[in-house]
Parts: sequence; C-alpha cells; structure tokens
Amino acid sequence: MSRRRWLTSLRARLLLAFILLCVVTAAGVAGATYVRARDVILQKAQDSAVISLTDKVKTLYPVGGLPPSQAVLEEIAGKLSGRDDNAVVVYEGRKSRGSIDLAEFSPALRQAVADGDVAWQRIVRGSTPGLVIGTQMVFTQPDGTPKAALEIYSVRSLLPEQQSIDDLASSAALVGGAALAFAVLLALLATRSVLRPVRELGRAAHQLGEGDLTTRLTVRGADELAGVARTFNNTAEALENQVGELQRMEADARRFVADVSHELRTPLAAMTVVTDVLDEEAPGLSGDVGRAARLVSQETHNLTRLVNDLIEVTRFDSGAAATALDEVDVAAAVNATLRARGWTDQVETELTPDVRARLDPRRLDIILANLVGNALRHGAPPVSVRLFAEPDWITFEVGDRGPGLDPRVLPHVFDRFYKADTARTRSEGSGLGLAIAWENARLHRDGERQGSLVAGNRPDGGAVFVLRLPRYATNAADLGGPQ
Amino acid sequence: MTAKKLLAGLVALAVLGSGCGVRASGVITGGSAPTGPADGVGLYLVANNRLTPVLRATRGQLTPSETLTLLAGGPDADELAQGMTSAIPADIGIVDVVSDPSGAKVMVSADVTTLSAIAVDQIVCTVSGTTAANVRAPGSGSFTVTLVGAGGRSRGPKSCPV
Repeated sequence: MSRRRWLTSLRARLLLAFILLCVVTAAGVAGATYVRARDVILQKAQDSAVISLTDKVKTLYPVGGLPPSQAVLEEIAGKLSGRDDNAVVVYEGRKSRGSIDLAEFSPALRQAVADGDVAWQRIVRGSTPGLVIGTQMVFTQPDGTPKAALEIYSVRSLLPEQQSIDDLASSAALVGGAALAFAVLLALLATRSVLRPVRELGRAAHQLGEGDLTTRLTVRGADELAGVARTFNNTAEALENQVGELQRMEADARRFVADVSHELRTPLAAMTVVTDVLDEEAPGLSGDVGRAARLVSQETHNLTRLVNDLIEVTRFDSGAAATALDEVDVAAAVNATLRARGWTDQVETELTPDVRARLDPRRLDIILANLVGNALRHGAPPVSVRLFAEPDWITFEVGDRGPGLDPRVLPHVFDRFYKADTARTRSEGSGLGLAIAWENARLHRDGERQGSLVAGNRPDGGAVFVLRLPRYATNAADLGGPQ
Repeated sequence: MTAKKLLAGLVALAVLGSGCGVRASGVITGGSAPTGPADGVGLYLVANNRLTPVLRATRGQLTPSETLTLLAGGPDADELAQGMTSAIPADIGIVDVVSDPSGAKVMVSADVTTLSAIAVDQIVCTVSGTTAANVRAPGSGSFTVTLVGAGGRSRGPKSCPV
C-alpha cells in the first residue's frame, strides 16, 4: 500500500517522467546518430574498396590471350589480392585457386556482375562481416563491341569497421547513461523546488486547521505556486479577521452577561434582606398576602442562585476561574458534602477509605452536590456514590435507579439552560448546574491529564455520571497557564 | 502514461529494427565494369565441335590475311591444353582478303568445296571480327564473307553464325 502510494506520489511521477523523457531522447538521438554513423562508415569503406579494386583491374589492361591459362588466372588473382582482401578470378567456369567458394556469393550478386555492373554486397560469415565486390573485366573487340574477358570477385573483411562501430555504440551507451544520471539529478532538484512550496502549503494549512490563524506563507517568485500561497495568505487573513470579530462579539456578549449579573447583585442583596423580613412576618400574614410573600421570597432565592451561577459561568468563560488546591481525604470530603445537605440517609456510599488527593475541595463539593441533588430529584432511589482510586486518577460514580437519560438528551446534558423535560417546573434549578459541574471537573489538570465529567446510562437501568479527576492536580496559575 | 510507453516502445523497436553492428546487405550495384583495350586478335577455334572465340596475343595490328594465316596455323600450346582444335587444313593457302562495307572475299589456294562447314564458319567469323572494325559502317546490316578457292569454286556468301 505504501509502495503504491510512493509510486503515485508527485515526486515519483515527476522523476519517472524525467527519466522516461531522458531515456527516449537519449535513445532516439544516440540511436539515430549510431545508425547514421554506422552507415557512413560502412559506405566509405565499401566505396573505397570498390574504387581500389576497379583501379587495380584497370592496371591489368590490355587484355592478353583468351581464354587464359590457369597460370594466368592465378597471376591476376595474385595481383588483385592484398593485405586486407582476397580476390578470385573466374573465366567461364574456371577459377583461380584459393579458399573462396563461388557458391558463397549470392545469385543476385553474380547476376549483377554478369550483367556488366560493378556490384558489391555485405555478407556475414559466422560472426565475421565481410564485403564481396564483383566486376567483369571487359575488353573492346576489334569490331568495337565490348566483351567480358574475366569475372573478378574480391572479398574483404569488415572487422576494422565493425570495431569502430562497436566503439561508437559503447560510447553512445556511455553518454546515454551519463545523461540519464544527470536527468535523475535534475529531476530530484526540480521536484524538490516544486514540492517544497507544496509541502509548506500543506503544513500551513494543517496549522490553520489546528486553529493557528496567524499562519502565513512566504510568497516566493511569481509562479502558480506563489499564487496559491498568496491566496492562502489572503484566506487566512480573512479568516483571522472574521474569527477575531466573532470572538470580540462573543466577549462583548459575555462581558454584558457578567456586567448584568454584577449589577443585579446589589439590588438582589437588598431584596434578600427584605424577603428575610417578609419570611419572618409570613406566618403572621394570612391568605393571599402570606402566599405572595412566600412566593416573592422563594423567587428571590432562585434569582439569587441564578445570578450566582451566571457569575460563576462568566468566570469560567473569561478564564478567571482558578482552583484552590488542597490535600484532602476524598472519602471524608464526600461524606462532608452529603452531611452538609442532609443526604446521608438517602444515599448509599461505597467509598475506598484513606484516599488522599490534591484537588479543590470547594469545587468537588459543588460537583458532587449537583450530581447527587440531580439524582435525588430526577432519578429514583437508591442513589449511590462510589469512589475508585488509581495511582494517577480518582473516579466518582454517581448513579440512581431511575428511568435513566433519554439517548436524545444525553449529548446535551451539560449544555447551559438545557431542559430535558420541557414540562419540568422552572423553579427546580437554574439550568446551569451540570454545566458548572462540567467546567469544574475540567478545571482540574495535571499536565496532560484533565478532569472530565461523563453522563451515561447503566445497562441495568438508571443514569450514571462519572467524574474523573487527576489525583494530583496542579494549579494552572502555577504553570503560568491562561488565567 | 500509455502513450509514453507506446512511444518508448516504438523508439526501441526502431533501434532494434535498424540493428546493431554490421549486418548483411542486399546487392548494391555501382557503375559499369571497367573496359579496356585488348592486345591481340580474335580467332575462332573449335572446342567440343563448337565455334569458340579466343584472343591470341599479338604484337601490333595484323591485316586480315595475316590474321587468317595465324588461324590456319592452328591452336597454340595454351589453346591446345584447353582442348581447342581447328578444322582448317594447314595448307589452305591464304592468298588475299578483299573487303568492302557489305562483305569480304577471301581468296585461298586450296579447294574450298572440300572444307568442312565448321572450317568455313571459323574463317567467316574470324574475318568478320577483324574486318568489321576497320571497314564496316556501323549498322550496315549483316556482314557476309565469300570464300573463293582453286578453280574459281566458292563457298558463301555467309555471315558469322555466332
């Protein structure tokens, strides 16, 4: 699979194309040059051999007695033979002695010679190339008509020419190989120069996708890739601007909520004082007035809690929430939470004793109170709290035996103001409890470890919330992290 | 990629087709065979009962009658060695040869009626070959030879059969 991917990669394809181009070009040029040079070498050798033979034949004139005696044939053959060539002289079926057999010559050659032409042909005997030249020796009869006196064949080795041609071929192969190596080098350089911007583009796009909106590419040159880089930069800039705008708007909105919450605190404090007075007086009030007084008191408490929750949420959003870490006995902390709210009798606990952990006891209290409170309100008994300890983690499981959470609700359980049951009375909670619990869990960190809160259903029925915190949380502020 | 492969294949095929090294070729023809003068006279002798031309090396040009005298002398040693004979009797006695563009008349002292046909052809062809170049006009039809011997008896006119 990876081999296949390498083959289809841009680099491999570019490399292959270069190599192919080089091979085709080198083979074409070298091949054409080789063929042409070979033909020229052979033609020159042949032409000079033919001219040499006819010149030698011309020195034999005038023609003496015919038919020639065998001795005359031998003498002429001797005169025509040299260091490189070997001649045979034929007169009407008789021939000079020698190693050459007339049957070796093609009938076409003999016919051409009989027709009165100088003719030649390359032959290959074994692996030795040779050249056969044939001609007649013609004399003019007393009546002026030409008449063939002798047929002369000369056989010449072409080994020196073959040697030259072989040298040519090997040098062509050498040059072709050098060109191929050069092409590969060139292709590598070219692919690098082309692929580097592509790689940079890929890396920048990845960074942008990771959320680093300040990523920019250096635009080099004016080619298509530079155009792509420029477009990328423009896109990244537009994206950064828009995201910045959105973030500014969101921050404005949060600040507004925070401001509103803070502004509400003072009048609420005053109202609380008033409602406290009303509460004291309520038993003395009768009928509708008493009910109204109790209602105002109740709603004022709810509003106070909502505003406090909102302020808590805005702290998380602005990153101002910090943990106040302390070394605590976890089981004791859980018991304290249950006891403080009077839930000890309604909740079954299964707590590993003597588990010590470093965490924010106040936030743990908020989380557990919220989870257990929810279980008591919406689930069915028995509500259980269990504690597990691992070397690096502590895990709380808060479960009930109620109908469990609707699968459609599950993904939204920790959303702010999310109401699973639209018919539920609005007085039961602010709608921010689980969201705050979730944020509190995530606030606990230990390096890579981060606390989590997960909602789910038990296979045997009932909802279960799993709180998982790093056992030795570190303060984000201590690490110089975001506030 | 397929087109490239095809191209490469074609190039390779072309290179292979033209071959490497020196290969056999067809027959290549150049100009005409070299032609030169002959130093001798053409005589017609008999080999295996057939008229056979030979070129007898001589010094200088011979007259027709001198040529016929040479012919009457029969084959020399080389020619004998190659199985040549002559049907002309040695005592034929060449008297004269008279030529004009259309023919020649050979006068001999012997009786021409007794000559064998092949002996007549020997004389006719030899005279035709030697005389033609000097006397005969080119393209003037067939050249005939008449033999006139003792008693005015003659053979011919006859033209060379070969």
